[in-house]
Amino acid sequence: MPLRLHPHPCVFGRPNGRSAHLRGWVCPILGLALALTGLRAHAAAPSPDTPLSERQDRTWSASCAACHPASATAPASRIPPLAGRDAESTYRTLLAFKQGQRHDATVMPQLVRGYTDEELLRIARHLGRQPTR
Amino acid sequence: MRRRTFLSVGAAGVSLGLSGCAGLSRAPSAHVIVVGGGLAGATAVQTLRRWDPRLTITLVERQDRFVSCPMSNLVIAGARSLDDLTLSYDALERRHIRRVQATLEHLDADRRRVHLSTGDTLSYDRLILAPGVDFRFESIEGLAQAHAQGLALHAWKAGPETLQLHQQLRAMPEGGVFALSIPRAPYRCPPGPYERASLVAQFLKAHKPRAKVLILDANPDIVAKKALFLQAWNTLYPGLIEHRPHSEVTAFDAATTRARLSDGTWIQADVWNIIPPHQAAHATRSLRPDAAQWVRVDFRTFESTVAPGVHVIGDATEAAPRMPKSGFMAHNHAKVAADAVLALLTDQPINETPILMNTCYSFVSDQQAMRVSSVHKWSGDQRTLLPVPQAGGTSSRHSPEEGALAWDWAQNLWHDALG
Repeated sequence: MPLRLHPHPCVFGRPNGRSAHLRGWVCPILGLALALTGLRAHAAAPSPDTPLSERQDRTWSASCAACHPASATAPASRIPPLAGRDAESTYRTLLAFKQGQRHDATVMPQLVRGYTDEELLRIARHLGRQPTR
Repeated sequence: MRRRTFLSVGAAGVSLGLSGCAGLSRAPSAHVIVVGGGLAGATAVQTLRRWDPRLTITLVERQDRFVSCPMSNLVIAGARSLDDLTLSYDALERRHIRRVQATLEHLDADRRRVHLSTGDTLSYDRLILAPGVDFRFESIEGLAQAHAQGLALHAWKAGPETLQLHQQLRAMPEGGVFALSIPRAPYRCPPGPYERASLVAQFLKAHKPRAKVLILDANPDIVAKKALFLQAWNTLYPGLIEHRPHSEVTAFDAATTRARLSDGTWIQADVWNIIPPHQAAHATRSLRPDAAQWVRVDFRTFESTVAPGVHVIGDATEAAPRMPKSGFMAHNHAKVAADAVLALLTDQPINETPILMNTCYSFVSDQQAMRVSSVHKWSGDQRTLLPVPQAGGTSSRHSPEEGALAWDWAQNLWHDALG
């Protein structure tokens, strides 16, 4: 039985949708704090009870799977898989793309400029938690 | 005709009431139906399954195999086979996604039921429509008949027509004209027609060097990647491609194989490839008030603005500003919609900050490609997805490196949807 993160405080007092603005502020901060303290969700199948911040992370990250192989059964590719990579290393690479420091890059600099540094960090951390198998 | 009725427990309407107990979940029998097994629909069912192993999922798809529109211009030019672009739906069934080979005949959104061409009626808790586009043959006089006779193929849905058009290209006389008619935007795959013109030109240069490609474009200018296409045409196929803007085909005469333009002139060609204007597929008709051509959705959830519980993704949606009808975009729609469907089924908050990406690769020869990219974020003020101004852009020029990346992109996209 896979471990699950304890229900996220943000889903408490579920609401009418109007407090979404507040949630948008609170959840990323909590999500980051959790990630930074090393508390990790098991990279098992996320459940429908997954907290909003984690759902945001996985949905943002899911866009990457259009190009990047998301499972070991994907066909061999020049485009690298991202699951299970060290989050700090992924984040540094994304920032290097954003700052124009990767001259071998093609599409990535143009895409990552659409994301804040915090969004990139959350994506990097989420991808790092995914199983490589 | 078989008549069966599946009724699932309707869990969507069950509110938890215990707002603090996020561990409580909806009944495990919640049923999500996805109509359409193209890139949008197939990605949606796979994503729903990955994110919720307990959900009951049904895919309703007319065809027994998936044939990719992306990369199908390579088949027309003889650089790839249709088999290279064809995938089975077997992987979905291994993941306990029920597949029904049928079309949607009638949507009863009030009772949350769909009536299918097989006679089946299915109940759902949430419905995702990913039916793609229908062609408006009737908007060009004589086109329906000419198309049925094979005189004016579109090959804008990959399949038998893709091969037929390839055969017509091969059989074209030396010094002949291949005419490609592009409808007014929005249409599926904005750079696709120009990619096709490039690849046809490469074929002609090699096999019929005196022949020409004539692009009759209903739009005032090249719709996508103009500078890159012109650069490619000038360097790779000088004098071989003629692009005529403001040239909308309004009629086709099968007897003389000529097309009439909006200014009244008649054009003669040897092979006619007429891409008709599109609209959202028939399955969405009840979601398009006032005969609108596309389906309006809330881009945070992709839920229809007129039918609660019905989500629409892919090319059938009315696009947000500068959002193309592309396979990549359809894939990203599916991810956001899958998350929203799972949230709404369990009475959880939706993601108020969706971020979607797009990249469209276009081949300008069988080896070389170039691309355009964009990032789209939800704007709370404008209530839509807007392109991020500082993001996105194009290749500097076509290259074999991007040709290789384009093929790998397609392979991976297919795998994420169907592998």
